[in-house]
Amino acid sequence: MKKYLFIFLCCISCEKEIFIEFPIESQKIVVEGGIETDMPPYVILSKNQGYFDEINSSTYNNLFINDAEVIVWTLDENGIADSVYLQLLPPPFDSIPIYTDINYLTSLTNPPYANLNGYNFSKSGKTYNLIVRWNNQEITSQTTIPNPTPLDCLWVEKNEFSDLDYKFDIRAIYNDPADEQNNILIKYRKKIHWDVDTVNWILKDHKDEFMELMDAGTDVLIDGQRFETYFPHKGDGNIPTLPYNSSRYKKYQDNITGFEDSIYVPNDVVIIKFCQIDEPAVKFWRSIVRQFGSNGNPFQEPLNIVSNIEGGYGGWTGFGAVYYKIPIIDGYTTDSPLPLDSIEIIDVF
Amino acid sequence: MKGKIFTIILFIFFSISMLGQTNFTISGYVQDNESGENLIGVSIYDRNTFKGTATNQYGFYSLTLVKGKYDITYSFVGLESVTKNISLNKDTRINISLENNSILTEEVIVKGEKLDKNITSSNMSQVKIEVNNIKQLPVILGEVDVLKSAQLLPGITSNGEGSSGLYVRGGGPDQNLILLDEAVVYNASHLFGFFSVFNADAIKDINIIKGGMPAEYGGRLSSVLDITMKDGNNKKYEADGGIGLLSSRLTLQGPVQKDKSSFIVSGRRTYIDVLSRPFLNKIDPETGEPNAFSGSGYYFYDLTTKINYRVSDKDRLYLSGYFGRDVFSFANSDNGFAIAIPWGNATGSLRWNHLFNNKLFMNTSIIFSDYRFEFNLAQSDFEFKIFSGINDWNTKVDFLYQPNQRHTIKFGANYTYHEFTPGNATGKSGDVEFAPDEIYRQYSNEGAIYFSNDFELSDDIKINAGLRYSSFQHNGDISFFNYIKNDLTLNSDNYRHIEPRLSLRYKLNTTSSLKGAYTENYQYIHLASTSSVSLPTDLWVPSSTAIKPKFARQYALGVFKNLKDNMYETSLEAYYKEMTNLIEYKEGYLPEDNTNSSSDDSFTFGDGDSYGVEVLVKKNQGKTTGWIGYTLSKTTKYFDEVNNGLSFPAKYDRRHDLSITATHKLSKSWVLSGVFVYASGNSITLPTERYVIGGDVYTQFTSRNGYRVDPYHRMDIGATYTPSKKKKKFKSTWNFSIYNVYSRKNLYFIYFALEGIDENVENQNIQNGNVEPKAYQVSIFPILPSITWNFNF
Repeated sequence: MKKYLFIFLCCISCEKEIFIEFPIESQKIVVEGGIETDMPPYVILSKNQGYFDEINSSTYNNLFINDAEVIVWTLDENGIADSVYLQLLPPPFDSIPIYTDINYLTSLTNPPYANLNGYNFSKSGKTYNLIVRWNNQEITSQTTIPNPTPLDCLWVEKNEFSDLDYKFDIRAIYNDPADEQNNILIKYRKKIHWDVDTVNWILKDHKDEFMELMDAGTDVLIDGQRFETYFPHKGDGNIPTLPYNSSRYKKYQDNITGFEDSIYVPNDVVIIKFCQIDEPAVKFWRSIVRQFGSNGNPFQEPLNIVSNIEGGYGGWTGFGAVYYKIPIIDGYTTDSPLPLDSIEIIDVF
Repeated sequence: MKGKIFTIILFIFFSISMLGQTNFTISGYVQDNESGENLIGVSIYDRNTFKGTATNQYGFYSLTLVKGKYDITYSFVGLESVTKNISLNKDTRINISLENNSILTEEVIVKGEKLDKNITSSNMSQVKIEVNNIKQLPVILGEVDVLKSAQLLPGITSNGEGSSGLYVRGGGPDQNLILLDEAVVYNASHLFGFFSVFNADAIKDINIIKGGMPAEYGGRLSSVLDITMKDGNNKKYEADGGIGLLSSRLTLQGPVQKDKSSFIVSGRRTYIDVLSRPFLNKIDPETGEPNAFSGSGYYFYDLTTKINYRVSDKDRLYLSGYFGRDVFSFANSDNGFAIAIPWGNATGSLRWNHLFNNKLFMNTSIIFSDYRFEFNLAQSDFEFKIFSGINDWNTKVDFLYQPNQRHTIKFGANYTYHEFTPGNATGKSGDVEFAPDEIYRQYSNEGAIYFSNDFELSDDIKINAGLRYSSFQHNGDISFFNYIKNDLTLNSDNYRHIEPRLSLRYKLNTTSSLKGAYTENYQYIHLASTSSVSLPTDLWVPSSTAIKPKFARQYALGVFKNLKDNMYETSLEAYYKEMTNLIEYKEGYLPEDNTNSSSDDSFTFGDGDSYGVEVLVKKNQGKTTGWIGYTLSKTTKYFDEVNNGLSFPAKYDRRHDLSITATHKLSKSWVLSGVFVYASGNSITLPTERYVIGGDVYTQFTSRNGYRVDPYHRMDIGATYTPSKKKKKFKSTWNFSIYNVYSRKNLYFIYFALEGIDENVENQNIQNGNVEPKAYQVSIFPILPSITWNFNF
């Protein structure tokens, strides 16, 4: 009872719904696009909408733009422009419209994995320009693909704060290049994540469909240092703090028969994408992280996403990326990034 | 420039115009007979001619009159006036002790100064707040708050519900010079802005200047809040204290050497953390489960102390200090996550008063001021710390020279060495520490000399003319010591400015006057905030090559009228203030962009203006006292890189601001009080668009401060009960307050939610749910009764 009294005292504040009308100022194109070494560029296009407009599956799908002209160009060694026209991915990758070089996709020898020889157009150190034309609007952007910096090694280690013996962290050692103002972006995807449906006691794979953003930032504090770090995943609060699951037996009792048994749950398998990105791109990704973290914080001075798109919203990023595949098995260690032909194209997007 | 030269000529002219007459000076100190405290603002005047003066901040006065006979009266609130018949034929020293007046306590007089001073003084836009009076006003959660009381005056607004920040005539919170015994207090609030750091038990005097700033003050654009701490009872030992809902406090004072030296120590601490501790046990007593939030809590405390020593009749020493801390901690053992955020001020002042002769008084001070903020985060074996602060060493000398009854001349010099620690960060991962080779600091020198003359040109016209010459030198990350030692030619940013100050009074008759004021002010240090409210994370930054000093020019005009033998005091003031080089973070600024380095590239600069009319009707005498204050104003900002270059209202822009304050002495035991406040709603920025990236919704905000929220209003009532225990040594009072009597739901903040996602439905999200964005207004502080018990023995 005392507890509830205390909670009451703490929660003396009250709230009421208010109604605010703000019409949308202008229809703008929103870009989510990237290009990385040996991989085809990709662009997802959508539109902005009024803040208080309702969102449902129909309005959500209508946000995406699937009739735009999308061009990526760069200068080759001779200073001559080289360009690629991007087109929409065909099924089964059309759950959202993704523009990319579909000629490359049709050339895949072992789909959905990338070709071992790579994609000649995209090389680190080069600058890539984006042009999008849609609905009498033209928006442009520019990004550079930095050189990738691999991690020294990664390993799987028991999470010291969890009481559950199957909760593990992915840890790594990173050696940051000294005197280089590099910027880091980390993404992850639970490629396999089995969980138990506790009603029917069957296994379900709750894997992530796409890469998830873990964090982005500059190396201002870690410049030139070699140190240990770890790569958690997002939980309910969407802040990445959580460990992964290794294999375990989950006990259960059938409510009807009273029969006791256990079910074997395999370990998670996680893809880590560790990238170097340029300065305008890190500003975009940091503002994404910051707005996500402060969304709804009424004391935060409103922070718009910092876009590097001229005339539109969103970001166009060159990734100097390395990929790691980590099975969550106690003691697993690797220092080898995935070779090109072991990277799933979906992890590039 | 011609105008400035003319002002200097006027000084010289005025200063020599009274030479050649036979004048003698009465001077001395005035103190409270019971406590021995020096009294500030005691009126000393001749009853026949009403020529007079007032005691200064140290209780000293000097009155020079032509040879003759005078009836000199010394009067002060709540104390019995004393009249001395003096035959003035030589310089005379008279120290006076004023005794408690039991008759006056029946009928309250709220002013601690000459009753028509508002008419006769050349100053305008200045208010003295009596601590004893604000202690009788209704308070929130039992906490008497100096800053919240100041917000009830016209021209001064708060930032909203619960905020103790001051916004004076369109100026931001960093434009107020807040002084505690001459030491600058950089963050004057506890509990994220809800309460001020000043413990009313330790305060003797509060003087607020919101316009017509005299030349002895500078370094800020908008206002001065000059707070003087009590000296301590030099007659007997005394203890005061109080127990409230939020905090308790205790003040001890007494003589170190009777009539020669005294001390005062005053402390205050909240007990939210102590009260909540049983609910945050390591093991939850009801469930037996580990409590994930064990270790979380919040508290603040402050300690004020002062000691004074009367070295001789001409020399006095004062040593005073303040130390306060807020500590917020949050722990969640489920994921090994812990945060600790301590912040606070520390100040110290050593002052020496010296009387050269009956006409020339000097105060010399060495002052230390420090504000620091820390944010500590630990998760797993990672530790992260970000810290910032500002540290000042200040020395100043002030002279008060009163050559005759028509002149009060002030001059002096001031030097401050600033050490800024902008956002620095360190970290640790396992055994590896991330730390810059050295903490990034910036160093600046700020100086000023000033001269002013408060001069009575005729019986009707009085002028206060002053000049302040200020300078600021920013050495970047090179300390002054190294700057001198290594290379005097090192590049640094230098700013030098002349700041004219002029106030003028024209007396229409014995009960009314017209006044005008013109001031120019430069401000060399700036507060940068990424938050919509004042938070301890806000960063003080110096002027540099990129950051120019702020500048304000203010014009004010006023008409003052007293009625019914000074029982009613009325005024109407109009002002126009223009400000340049105001500072804001660039749109899209991220604090980590400038970690461990200068923040200069993070800012954008613009201008602002504010104009308004202020009305004050005040009743000073009788059983019922109080005031009505109303302000009609508009404050606008102009930044090329904010809001697409379009003008926008300041977030504290208030079109209407009304406050009514009343105190009624019902009987010897009961005093009733009430406050009513009405203000136009704040201007805020709201989201207008959204878009999707990576399956998540992001927001686009436009039109800075383009939405005005509902008006703010509330009524508070209070009662103070003093049990009548005649001649008993132990005295106590009970203060009963009801804050927000009719439980008005005033806006504290607006938040937005995407509603419609059913958490019980697997994998439901914005793609497949039927989501409706909604806006909610959150209000804190509904009707809040409180009770405080105060004691004295």
